[in-house]
Amino acid sequence: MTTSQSSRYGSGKSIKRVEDDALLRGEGRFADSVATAGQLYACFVRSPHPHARVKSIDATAAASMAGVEKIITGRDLVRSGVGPIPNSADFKRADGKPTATPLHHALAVDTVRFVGEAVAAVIAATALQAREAAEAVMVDYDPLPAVVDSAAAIAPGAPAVTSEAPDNIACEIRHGDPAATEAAFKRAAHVVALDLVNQRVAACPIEPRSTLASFDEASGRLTLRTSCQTPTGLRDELCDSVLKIPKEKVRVLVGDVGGGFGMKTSLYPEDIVVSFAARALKKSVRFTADRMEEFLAASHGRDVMSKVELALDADGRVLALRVASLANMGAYATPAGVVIQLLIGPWVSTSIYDIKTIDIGIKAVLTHTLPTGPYRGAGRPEAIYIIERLMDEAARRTGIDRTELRRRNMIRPEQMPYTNPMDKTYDSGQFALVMDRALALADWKGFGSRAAEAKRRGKLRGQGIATFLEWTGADVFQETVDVAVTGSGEIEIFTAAQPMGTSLATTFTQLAVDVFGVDADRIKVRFGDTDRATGFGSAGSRSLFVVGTAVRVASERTVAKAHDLAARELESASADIVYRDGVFSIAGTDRSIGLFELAQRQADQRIVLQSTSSVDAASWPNGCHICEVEVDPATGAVQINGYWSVNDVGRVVNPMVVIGQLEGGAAQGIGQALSEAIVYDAESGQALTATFLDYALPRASMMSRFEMTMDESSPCLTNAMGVKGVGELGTIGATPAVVNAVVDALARNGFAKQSLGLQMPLTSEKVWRAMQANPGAY
Amino acid sequence: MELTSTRNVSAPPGVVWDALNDPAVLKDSIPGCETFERTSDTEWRAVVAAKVGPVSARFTGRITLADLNPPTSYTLKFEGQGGAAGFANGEAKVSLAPGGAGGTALTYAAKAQVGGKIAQIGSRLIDGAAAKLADEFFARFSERVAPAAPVPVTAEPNAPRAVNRYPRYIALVVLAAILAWLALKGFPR
Repeated sequence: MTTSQSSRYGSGKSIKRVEDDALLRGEGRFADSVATAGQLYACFVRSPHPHARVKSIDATAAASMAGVEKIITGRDLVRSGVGPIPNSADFKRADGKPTATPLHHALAVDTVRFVGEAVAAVIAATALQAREAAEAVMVDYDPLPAVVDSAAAIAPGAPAVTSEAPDNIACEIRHGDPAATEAAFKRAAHVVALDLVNQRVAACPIEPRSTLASFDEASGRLTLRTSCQTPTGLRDELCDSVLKIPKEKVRVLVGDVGGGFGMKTSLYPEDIVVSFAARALKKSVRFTADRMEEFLAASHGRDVMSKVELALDADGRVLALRVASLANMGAYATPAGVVIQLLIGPWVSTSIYDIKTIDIGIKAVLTHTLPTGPYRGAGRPEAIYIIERLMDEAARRTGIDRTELRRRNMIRPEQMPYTNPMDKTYDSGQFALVMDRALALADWKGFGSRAAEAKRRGKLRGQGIATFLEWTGADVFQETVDVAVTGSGEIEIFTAAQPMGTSLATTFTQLAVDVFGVDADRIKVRFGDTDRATGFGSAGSRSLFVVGTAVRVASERTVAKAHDLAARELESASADIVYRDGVFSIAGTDRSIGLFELAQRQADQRIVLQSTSSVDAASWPNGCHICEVEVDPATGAVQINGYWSVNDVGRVVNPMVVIGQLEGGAAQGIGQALSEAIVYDAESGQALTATFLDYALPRASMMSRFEMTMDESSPCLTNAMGVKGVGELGTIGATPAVVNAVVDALARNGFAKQSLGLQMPLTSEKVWRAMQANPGAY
Repeated sequence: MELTSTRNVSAPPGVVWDALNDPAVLKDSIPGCETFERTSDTEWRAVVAAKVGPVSARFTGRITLADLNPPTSYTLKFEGQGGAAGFANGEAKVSLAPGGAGGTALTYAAKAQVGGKIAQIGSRLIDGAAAKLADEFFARFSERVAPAAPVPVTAEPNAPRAVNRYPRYIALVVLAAILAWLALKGFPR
């Protein structure tokens, strides 16, 4: 049967991951599992102070220790012409000046600005020798006052992170129409207001950052083997801004990546130092972060505090949304950190609701903390948390049912394409349909009896809902893919997308099988080599919808090219040739040639094609997540009793993979809601959460009764495949769904007022304390 | 970041004050106290070793004294460098007052700050270590000063536990260093 392969392996089926065989055999190639003979090890000396002048660095003792090859300081790098990491320059301060932020040197030159900032590096023969020598490097600091909280940082008299911004505001932005918003609030029948803190969190991939820099004297080339989502961007930034060498002199290789979540999209100081050291010593130099270094020096996410208000008319129609936020950039305002908070979040601030009037002001604040950057969702979780908390609060205020209030405000399918007040256009979405399916899945109406049963057990049951959408694609819609059909029977696909546990090899294989009709094991998707493919990489949930589309287009173009070659080979008119399942044949005859045989007959035994294609615009996946929790009034402990979601992800290539993305995403969103928080001590500026002892990741027990489902009835209209980005969706929906459930549990039982002040993570201590203000209520 | 505690020692204030100036007493009483040495007329150096969970720290401390009011009170400032383990800075006000049954109420109010790895490593470990150090110090000290065991009167961190988890340990290190300094300095009577 000629269609057997594509029906078995093509898109739409949950085929087993092609990645897993090697991973399960322990044959994964992670950055740290690749070793080169004679490689040296880097260990970093990090600041124990949140803010200090570096008076002197005495490396005399360290330099004479066993195995030490080189000790590098910030001044060494500057003297050698190594440039700082590029900072954000695209936004403005209120005074019209560009973004103010200190120069971000890979190693601090004379001032440290957060605990964990690297001030020196020791390169030694073994990791232990490097560590011991690093501990012997004596740094004399003159501690300075520090501020870690963004509200405290903008208060008069707060210590400034940079003299260019005495107010610690790196830059700021105001979206919308303040006057129209004010007018809407004046005529509103109902106004609800909340103070919300979207706390700082850490990505915590299983695999920490790791980079091996090798220098080849003969070619003068530097090769980095690293764990990164965006190898081309890393190469370009390293070459253009930092080392100031031609891009051709650097090759970036990425093998298996054990989780990225946005955190692995940056060029990090450690990458720069090992690159510099490898070139200086003409050897290979490795850095692999330990977990504490990941907490201290791998960019954090979120950290936004907001005053938010919603104006509604008497019928519960939203008249206007007003948001004033402080976004903590850390000590260095990175381009990604700023754009996430100042632009990307606001793009989805009105979510799936037909809200025409907004006033959104956001200040990017400098503090003496690690810089913040992309973390799964990146701006959208912050924005959706705001609107979904407000929707629930508005429902309580107006007395209108939560689902009815949402329904009244939803953008209707006939309004598509819909342009929101941030001038972003949604192509598709049936928001009420998605919500209705979720309500049925979760037996929303049966909550009353479950709550009554819980109450008999002495538990306070709550029900939470979040209806939402998100923007995906990172606004990089063009992608180049190389295809090579070889005479030896393989179809190689080279892409700059970068899997990180996201099953791209499987998914792209399925897409190629759809077009080529050959066995899946003929398809070899090659990732992670800037010599073979360059592009934006994997971020912003773009890999399937942008790159996957490009893979399909490239595959189609390859078949078309081969078609012409086959016509020549078979001496027949192209129109008479049909292609099916790896074979070109002349229609109505028994004359044919196989695709791979055709490739074998070409000059270099292969058919190669480079294909560049684009999708039209962003995709807007959306969903409805529902959560039920029980709160133990004796301890404040929150138990998730059920979690259901319906997700409009457009067309689905591999259901198992998509469900996996939704589940993992939701787990991270639940973590933020209930347990995760990066804490810097407000008084001392010290990092208090630098191990998993103090940073609480979500646990399996939080995820009982977990039902993620997909709705494929609204295919995306901005790409030929109809797919929507899915990598971040779960994270965005889970956090407000869980928090709304806990607030609902409290509000139903006499703690409505106390629940207003609750901030994530909703630990048992916080929930218990909130209930102590009104202990007899339930 | 303040820790206040009062301990009742079964000896009169004069005896306690003398003991605080007896290097032998203090050397024996301070857990992990390795050396004290004079670096100038106004500065002293103390080395106190401690292990908190996985972190072994040897603090090299510089101590200065102020507000001397013998035999009832003094203030001291401590700056300790623990190398790779981080640092500890602090100030402690120590006072002696007549306590019950002819004893002495020894009160200390310590403000302390730790930084680097010792702050990062898991503050709940430090909690336990601090409590153990405190108990150990007062047990040994009271043993030397008076035959009876000490009676804790109060021990109340005056900030919520969540934000006051780690200074307790360092408050004790500070206190230990204070006492060590007093012992070597030969406190004026």
